[in-house]
Amino acid sequence: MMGGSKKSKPQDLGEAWVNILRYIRRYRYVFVVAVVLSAIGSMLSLIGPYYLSDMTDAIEDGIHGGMDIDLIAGLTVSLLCVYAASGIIQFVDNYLMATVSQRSAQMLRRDVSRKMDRIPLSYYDRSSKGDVMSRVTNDIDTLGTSMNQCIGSVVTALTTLFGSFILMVFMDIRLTLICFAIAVVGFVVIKTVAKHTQRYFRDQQRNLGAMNGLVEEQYSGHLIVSSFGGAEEAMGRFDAINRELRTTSFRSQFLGSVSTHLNGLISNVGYVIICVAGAMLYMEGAITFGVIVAFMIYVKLFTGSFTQLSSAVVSMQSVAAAAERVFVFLDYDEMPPQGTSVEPERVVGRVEFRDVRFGYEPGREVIHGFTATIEPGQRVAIVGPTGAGKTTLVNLLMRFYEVDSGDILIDGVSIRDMDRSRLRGMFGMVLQDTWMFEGTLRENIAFNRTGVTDADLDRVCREVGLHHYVSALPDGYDTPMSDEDSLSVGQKQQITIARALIGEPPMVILDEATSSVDTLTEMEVQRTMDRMMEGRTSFVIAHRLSTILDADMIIVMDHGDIVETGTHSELMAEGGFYRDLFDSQFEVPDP
Amino acid sequence: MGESERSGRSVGSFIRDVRSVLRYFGRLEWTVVALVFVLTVAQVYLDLRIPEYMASITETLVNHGSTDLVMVDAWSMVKCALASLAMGMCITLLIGVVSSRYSMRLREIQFERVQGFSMEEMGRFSTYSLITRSTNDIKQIQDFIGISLESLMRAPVVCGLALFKISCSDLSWTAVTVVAVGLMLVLVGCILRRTIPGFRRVQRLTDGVNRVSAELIDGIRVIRAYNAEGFERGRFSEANGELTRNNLGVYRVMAFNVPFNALIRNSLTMAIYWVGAFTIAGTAGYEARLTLFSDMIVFATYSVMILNGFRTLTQMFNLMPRATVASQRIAEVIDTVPSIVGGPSHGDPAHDVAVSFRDVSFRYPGAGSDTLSGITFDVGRGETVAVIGSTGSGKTTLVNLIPRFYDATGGSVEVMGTPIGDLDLDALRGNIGFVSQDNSVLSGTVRSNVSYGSASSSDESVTDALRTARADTFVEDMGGLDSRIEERGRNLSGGQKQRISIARAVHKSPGIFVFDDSFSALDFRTDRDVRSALRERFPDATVIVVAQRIGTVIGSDRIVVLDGGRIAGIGTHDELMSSCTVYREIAESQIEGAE
Repeated sequence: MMGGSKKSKPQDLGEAWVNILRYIRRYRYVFVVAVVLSAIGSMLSLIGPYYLSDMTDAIEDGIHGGMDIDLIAGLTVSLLCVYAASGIIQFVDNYLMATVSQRSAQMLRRDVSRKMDRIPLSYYDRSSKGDVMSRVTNDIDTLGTSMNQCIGSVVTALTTLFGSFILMVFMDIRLTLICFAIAVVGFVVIKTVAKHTQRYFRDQQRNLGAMNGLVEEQYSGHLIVSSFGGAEEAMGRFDAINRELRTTSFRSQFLGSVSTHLNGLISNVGYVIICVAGAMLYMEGAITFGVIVAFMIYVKLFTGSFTQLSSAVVSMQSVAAAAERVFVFLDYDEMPPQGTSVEPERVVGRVEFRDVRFGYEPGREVIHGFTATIEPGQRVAIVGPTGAGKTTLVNLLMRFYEVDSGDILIDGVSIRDMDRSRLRGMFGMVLQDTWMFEGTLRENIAFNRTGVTDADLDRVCREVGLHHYVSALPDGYDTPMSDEDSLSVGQKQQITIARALIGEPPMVILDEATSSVDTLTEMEVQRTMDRMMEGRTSFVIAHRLSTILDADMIIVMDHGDIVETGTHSELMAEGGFYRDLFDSQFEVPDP
Repeated sequence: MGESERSGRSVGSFIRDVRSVLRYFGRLEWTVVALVFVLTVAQVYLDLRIPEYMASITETLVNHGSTDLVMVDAWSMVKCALASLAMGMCITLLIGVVSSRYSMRLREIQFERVQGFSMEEMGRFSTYSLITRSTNDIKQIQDFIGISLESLMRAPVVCGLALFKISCSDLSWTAVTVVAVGLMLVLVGCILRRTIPGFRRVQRLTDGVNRVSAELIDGIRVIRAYNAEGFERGRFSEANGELTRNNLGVYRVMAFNVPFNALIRNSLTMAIYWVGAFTIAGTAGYEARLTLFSDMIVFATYSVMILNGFRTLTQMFNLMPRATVASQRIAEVIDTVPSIVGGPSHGDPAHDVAVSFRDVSFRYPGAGSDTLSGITFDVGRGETVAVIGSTGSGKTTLVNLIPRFYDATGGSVEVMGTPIGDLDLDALRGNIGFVSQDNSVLSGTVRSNVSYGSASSSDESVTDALRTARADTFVEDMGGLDSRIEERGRNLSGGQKQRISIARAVHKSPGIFVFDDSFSALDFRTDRDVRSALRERFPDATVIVVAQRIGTVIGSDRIVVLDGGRIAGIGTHDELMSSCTVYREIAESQIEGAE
């Protein structure tokens, strides 16, 4: 992939397959065994008609005179053995292939989820969630289920093809050439059709992604949709995508099966030609009747393996289309490397911003050269009207985004040189959005921390004012929480604060942490937060001025720039932007 | 005995399953299916004709007849093959039309149904599950119809016609074939019995993987802030592992299908020859023997066709259980009757009392206690009433009853002088400008968000609404009315999202505004400006505002104080300061903080 561009240029489907095969290389031994078994299995089933031909001749002789039952019985027993062996081998082969394909799908899912952790946040800020989801589920699903049939049938088809060719040559070269000609004509036809169907499969996958995106948005925005009567408008957009999806899926399905039908025709015509040619050779006395019977089966097997190949091509196409989307995601540029992993010897918490410049999109700078030094243990409040870029500073500090120019240092070490997870581990962070996952309350508070005792939980819950709520829960800390639950936003916020408190980190970031908690609860929480911020360098973003009054430094921001800095009393005395903002809090609105 | 009984049962349930997948087939679909059936019979007939010409050729050959005679038969065979191709193409075309149209309709029916759901139904299914049901599940059904419908019809037709032809000639061959078909059914039955439960689980487990990945995307910022990538990966790999284990179990059993089908098929061919040898040996007369010999070769071909049909049929079971489960899950959605359905009345927007609560109580489904109880108060037309209370006191629940997102479980709610249950939902919600707590915005443009749901989206009306919501400045900075808003408003701050949501309500010009804590992310000046601009522009509108800040509620005509789901006091700021302890505590907490 070039320079982080998300756009995928239409790749060759072959390339997607090279990727797949490279991807499953850790299963190469199992894979090779499966391929060998599959080859042996189909070889064995090819020997069948050979014996059958002998049997036919024996029976035909029997028409004219006595039936040689002993010979026929011998042939029957040999055939049974061949068939049984072939069945068992093919079963083992299928079993192995099923294992390889499911394990590969699992591996892909795992890698996609890992990848999610490694790509920059800007990816998520730009792409639709439904689209990413579709890659993890639909696409990998397609891969898992189709890869199985694909690879298996390709091998079987190829061995059948070569094996039957050799056996046919043994029996009669002329009929063999005819068979071969029929199959080649067939293959060319199929190949041409398949070439034209590729893009419909890609279209279908793309439309499915679009459908996912729309449905996801509509269902999660259901409240607005129903309160503003937006259902009709949504129906319109839905219909458009739905219709397009219908067209593309019809095309990909129809064109996909056209090749199957053409194969049926080729097989039938081949059968006829063998009959006629065989009949003529028989009348010349060049072959026995058994050869015709054997060839009737071989021509089916021979053209049949072409059918198999062509349907494998069809599913290889959908596999490749899905794989392409998955691999594009897996190839997406990861975050810049970790640097040399320098760390301050002891984190005291001096934070320095040096002429930091940053924009979310190239050419649209929102932080125009920010410089400030925060001494250890100081409390910094970042205030300003909404959209002033307050969260941006935190994004940069935590390295969710990388600065365009300038530098941020913690205790004299550039954060660029630090390990990202070590850097983040230095901060306890409470965010504006209250995110919870499906799990128990205990898991939601302890999160990834191990060794959290009930006593620890009790302590933080008491501190944030959750203990009443907890004691009312049926299973206490082990009550399952879900996002749809009847938890209020405030309660969720309390849980996320508890999550930050339990870690006892050296520095603290509160990003509008109390914006959803009522003032009574906030007062309680605030006291805890004060204690939490004691002796720690802290960054508080809040629109609620009362929560940041005793900050050591207030950074007032507007339009991404710092307008004023100072303490509350200094800024009030200045009578500037901050004063205006503060005064508006206690003005009584017009009735 | 036991085996055949079980496979008999699975055939029964199989038919039920097919019916459930096709339950929304309309007349057109059934007509096409009937047509496909007729075409299939014709095609199979032609396909079975081809080997018969071979029999004729065989006789010609053994009798040392002329090449011309052979050519006549050969030419007929080619004609049959071409006709069969034509039929096959028609069948594919028809099935393609049906499956793509059917899945389109299913998507549409389901989507429309979900649009009518109340919050309760949304919560019951969960958003993620609904998404899977609308996308993945329908794809399963489409694939099932597209791939399997034909073989579903073809296999029995081939089996029936071929058996009929064989039985016309010799009963011992028929017997051998019937035994093979019986064995095949037992094999199919055994495989089904082992795989169907696994396939049924697939969807549920896929949902699990979906849910975790959705969580991962939603919480990406928090996860990174807490270095919890490993922890989340553990959760993901658990769901992933469970899904894989299940799939492995299923596909490993499916591995039996093809090889054992081949074994039975090949053995049958052999048995036909074996039986043929004896029959021919036991028959007198050259002509009769010759006929038997050519029949034997034809029937061997037939037996391969029959069992090939079964092989595709079993492979189809790959899709069958998933399609069945998918269709059941879709049916669950479609069959869910929204609990909240509008009445006939349009209400009286000019009624003196805009909203009235009479002893209202509310309990969430499955909850142990009431979230609201004994709520009684009126909001007069043109009044501004504020609702305040601590977190979890039931404020949001209370205002959610006004647009009927939920129905009260006790007491009555009246809007525009009419009991809320009698009101037409469009009339009710059309007159309410509701701004929710999570102030969701939709992906699209500023214009599409603000004019959402209304007919007009003119520059003036949208700009006007934005100005009232004090959103005009930042929208201009963004690049005007047609600037992009990304999914979930990712490119907007919390306060910007709130103002866009407020502008949306303003644009609607409703008689009643409901603001559910939707000023919280605004700074105080903007909060005040927005509210006064709103009042100026809609002097007669009723405003119900949920808030946490005293500054937001202080100027209201009346303030309702909620505490633990009950009303702790109603009155003006001054009245409450002297009479209501809860209110006083809230007020003091904020003023104290400001000192």
